[in-house]
Amino acid sequence: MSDQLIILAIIYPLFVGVVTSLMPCRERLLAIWGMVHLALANLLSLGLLVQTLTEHQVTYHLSGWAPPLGIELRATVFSGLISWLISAVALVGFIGGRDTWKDQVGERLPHFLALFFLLVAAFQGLCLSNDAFNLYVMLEISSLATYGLIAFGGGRAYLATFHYIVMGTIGASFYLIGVGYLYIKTGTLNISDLAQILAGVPWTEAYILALGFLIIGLLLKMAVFPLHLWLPNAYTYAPDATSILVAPLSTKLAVFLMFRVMFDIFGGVIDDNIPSWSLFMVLLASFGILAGTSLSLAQRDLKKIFACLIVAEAGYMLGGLWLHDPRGNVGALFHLVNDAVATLVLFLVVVAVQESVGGRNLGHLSGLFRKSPLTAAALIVVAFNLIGVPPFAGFFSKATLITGAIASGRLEFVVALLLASLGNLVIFFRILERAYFPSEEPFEEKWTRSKRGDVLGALALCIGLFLIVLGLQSNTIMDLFIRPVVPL
Amino acid sequence: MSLIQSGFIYWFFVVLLMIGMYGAVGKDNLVKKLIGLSIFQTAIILFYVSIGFKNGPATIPILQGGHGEPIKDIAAASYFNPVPHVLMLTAIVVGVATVGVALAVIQRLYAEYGTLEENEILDKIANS
Amino acid sequence: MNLTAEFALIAPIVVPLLVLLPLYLARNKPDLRESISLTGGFLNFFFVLYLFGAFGRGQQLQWDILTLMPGVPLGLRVDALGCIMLLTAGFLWPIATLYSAGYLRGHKEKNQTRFFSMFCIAIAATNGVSLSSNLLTLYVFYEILSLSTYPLVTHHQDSEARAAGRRYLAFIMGGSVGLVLPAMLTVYSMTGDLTFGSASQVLQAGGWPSALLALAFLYGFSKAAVMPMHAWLPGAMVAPTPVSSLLHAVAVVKIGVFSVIRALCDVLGPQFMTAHNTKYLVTALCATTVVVSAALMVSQDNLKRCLAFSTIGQLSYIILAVSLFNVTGIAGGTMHIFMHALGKITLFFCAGAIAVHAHKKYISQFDGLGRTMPWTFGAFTVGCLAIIGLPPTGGFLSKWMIVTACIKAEMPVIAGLLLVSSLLKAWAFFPIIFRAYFKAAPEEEHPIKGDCDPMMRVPLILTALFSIIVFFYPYYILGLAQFFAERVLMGGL
Repeated sequence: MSDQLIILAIIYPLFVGVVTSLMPCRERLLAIWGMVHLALANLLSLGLLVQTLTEHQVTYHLSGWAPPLGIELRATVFSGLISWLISAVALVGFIGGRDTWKDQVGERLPHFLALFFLLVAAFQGLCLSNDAFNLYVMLEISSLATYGLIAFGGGRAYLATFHYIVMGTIGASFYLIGVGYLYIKTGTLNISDLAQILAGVPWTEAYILALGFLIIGLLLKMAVFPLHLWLPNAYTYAPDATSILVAPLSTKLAVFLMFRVMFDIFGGVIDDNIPSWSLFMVLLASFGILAGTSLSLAQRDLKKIFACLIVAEAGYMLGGLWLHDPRGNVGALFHLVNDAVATLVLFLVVVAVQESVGGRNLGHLSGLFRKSPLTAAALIVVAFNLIGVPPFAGFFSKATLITGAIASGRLEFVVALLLASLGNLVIFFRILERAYFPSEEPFEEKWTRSKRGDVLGALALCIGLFLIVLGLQSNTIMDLFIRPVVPL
Repeated sequence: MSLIQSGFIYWFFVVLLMIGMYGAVGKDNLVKKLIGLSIFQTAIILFYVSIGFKNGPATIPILQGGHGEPIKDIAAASYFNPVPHVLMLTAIVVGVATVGVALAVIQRLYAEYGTLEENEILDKIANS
Repeated sequence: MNLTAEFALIAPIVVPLLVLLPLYLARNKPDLRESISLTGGFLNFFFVLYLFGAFGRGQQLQWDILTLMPGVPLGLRVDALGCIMLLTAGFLWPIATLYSAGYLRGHKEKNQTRFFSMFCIAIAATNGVSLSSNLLTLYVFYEILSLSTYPLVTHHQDSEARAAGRRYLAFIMGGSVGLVLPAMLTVYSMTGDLTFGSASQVLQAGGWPSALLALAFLYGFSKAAVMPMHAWLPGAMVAPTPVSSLLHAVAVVKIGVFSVIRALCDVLGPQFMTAHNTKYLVTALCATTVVVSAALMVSQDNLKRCLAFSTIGQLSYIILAVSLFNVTGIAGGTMHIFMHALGKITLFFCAGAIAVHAHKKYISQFDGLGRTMPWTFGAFTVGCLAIIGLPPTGGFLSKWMIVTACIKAEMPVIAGLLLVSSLLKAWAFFPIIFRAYFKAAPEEEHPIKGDCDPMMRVPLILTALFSIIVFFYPYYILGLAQFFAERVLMGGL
């Protein structure tokens, strides 16, 4: 049984999704159905995680065909962690988004949930597959499911989805071209095999071209400035139940994919062969961080503020991966985990705020502390995490990234990170000030405590407090899960 | 000239790619954008399929000609590489799915805004 | 290390936090709630005394709780400077709690439970900073202090509070995130170790970078209010006076100064600072602050703002003394932490008492009050003497040491400037006392009867009395200060 955990992690949600599309549209039934299956998926992923910790690497050959002919699945300690993270975020997102189904999804709920499960399956595949082309397929499946899920938002979501389709497909296609060039030169698609072959050959233009296409395609998927234009609108106008699942995971998995391309395929020696790229990438990342933070400062819709922050976070991870010093790489991967959890809390808070105060514009927020103190507490917690206040995880990921940047001599990245922290301070204290001080605008003040808002706020707060644990144990987590996969 | 001759297929691929990208990015009509995207994806499919081609006596990997004919020799050198073709079957399916989803979204956009021109849709959103 | 020692070490941080839940449960019974706060304060002081005693006996108390970054634990340790800070905060917290109760009730303030709860968190964070064994742990508790004092500064929740809160955050967080964090991580990437005392051995001194690092720490710890990072302090006076008194005279600003001293002495170290004359830069900047703030103080009419500028000057006094890097200087500066705290808190207590009882905020209104409120103004006079630096108050001893240290360091100009600032302070304070006692009170519709409420009077008399007592018996604090000074200059732990 334990050999099958890795494949079950992918196909179990897939089959559940297929069955879900056939179910009747009864909200209660679907909620219980979904929670049960997501809980089981969590257990599967947890089992896989434990397996990777004990065996260091878990592989699986689909249909028994050995690589490089067959497709292989591989889980390292870090991918085990990400696999569990995907299931956990899906479960929490499912529970958190449940209240919004009636208003935002309506009658086609079974189809919505079918796409939801399909997306989870695709994310798992993206995390666990060891075949370059299979990764493209998983990337596209996840994108297609996401397009569908976002389009459920109606109204402005349609145009946002269309833009996302065009940009996302171009991005994935670039990735495919990159894989094509690699195939021409090496004749294999298996990542471990590619790594072995690439380690032995000098780099010619074809390899560099392949890397270039792969990177650009992934930059688009990661929504790094200036290829980020699809993200703010797509995540803002999507239904809340979608953004809770998609926002924490989608771009982070693209970062993970970039990590695999840089380190698993190309062996982490890109800097030795083409040093100017690292220079450019870190510079781009620094700009991206500042651009994302500025974009976020300009918004008044809470959900859009948080969506624009994702663009900034992508910059942190991109820069971290391309730093010379391994501490930068470790910081980037830890930030991946930290940011996934933090984004989950952010979007849960959006739902909770809407329940408590009836709107998600900055102007609606006054009195939040009275109407739903738990939601306000969750907002404070995630704000501290994003600003980078110890003992939250956000501080430790930033500290590791900055240390790596100082050691690599990339001061522009340090400056960008610090400015982003201060920018986040302004963004979040603007929000918190509105919530804390009595309003000066003539909005009606209904000071009734919102029970539903409190429940959602409590959920957000629990996950937020987990960020403290993540922070205090950051060194242990890095030792267990991240440092083993980053070459020194 | 030899540069173009030796890498003819790559040039063809790039030109097609750029036509597709121009359509996807440069055109205002949503359906034309989609067609551009489709051309873009087709260019890549063509690129991959061309990878499998071999000069010399190489043919498609079919073992038995017809009913009753003997099975030909299985020598890898005499067949094209079938793997890229197989990969592209998947890619074509992905492309079809993408076009399907995009058309559904376009249909919804038309129902919502009554037009398929992107600039007009943006105007309507700005004025609403 | 045995269990009781570890427990005692973490008690000053944990005890104030444990008080939170009973405080919240007792939120509707003010007397019970205040008693819980006071009990927590006394318990905290008990543990501080225990740690002080253990340190005095030579016991090495240290605990690395968990690893935060490779080579840097969340570590606690008791040393001489930490003891001084613990004693300051621990002694003054219960007194301030009593005073706050009197003030908040007299002023009929809202949200009193939130007030006392945030107080507890702030004290816990203050003790955390005092007990830190490395720069990262200090930074963690420093940030917790910054954020927990924001609700205290903005307690009134009106537009003034909003503006003050924004400025507070901008300077404090801007300094810590924008300056201290990169400086700390630069030290970490150069030496791999942030423990106090050991980093300085490894740090390579060098021109530009050494000046930048020193300045980053000096300005980054903006709670120390070195000009121009002082601008948050006068604005923060819109907070209720107990906040101003405990936090802005004792906890917040002293932690700022404490952190700067730690950074200069234990992280950068005397060799680093002396090697490229970086210490002279610090001395010069602090001297400027001392003089400018004293000058600004003279022109203030609002009593609390006047006291705020006085505080800014005194803090730079302390850093200046330490930046001289001789035994008298460091000892005098660190001792002044305690002496100044006593004096300043007395002054703020009096300011609050006058505001609540006589409803007056401006110095020009104080005519004749000295005769109506004799105890208050008696304490006020003692406080003034402590701040100016005259006997028989403790402030005289530390000022004397600081001026002597300037002369020993062959900087008579600086010593002169310090004396000039003392004169300016006298110029600012003596008129107040004079008016209060000797001028006739103006005609008023509702004349004030008698002195302020005993709940406020007792604390301010206590602190004033203590200011005088430490003049005669300074040995404990002086001993700690000298021990710290010798340890720093000798190098090593």
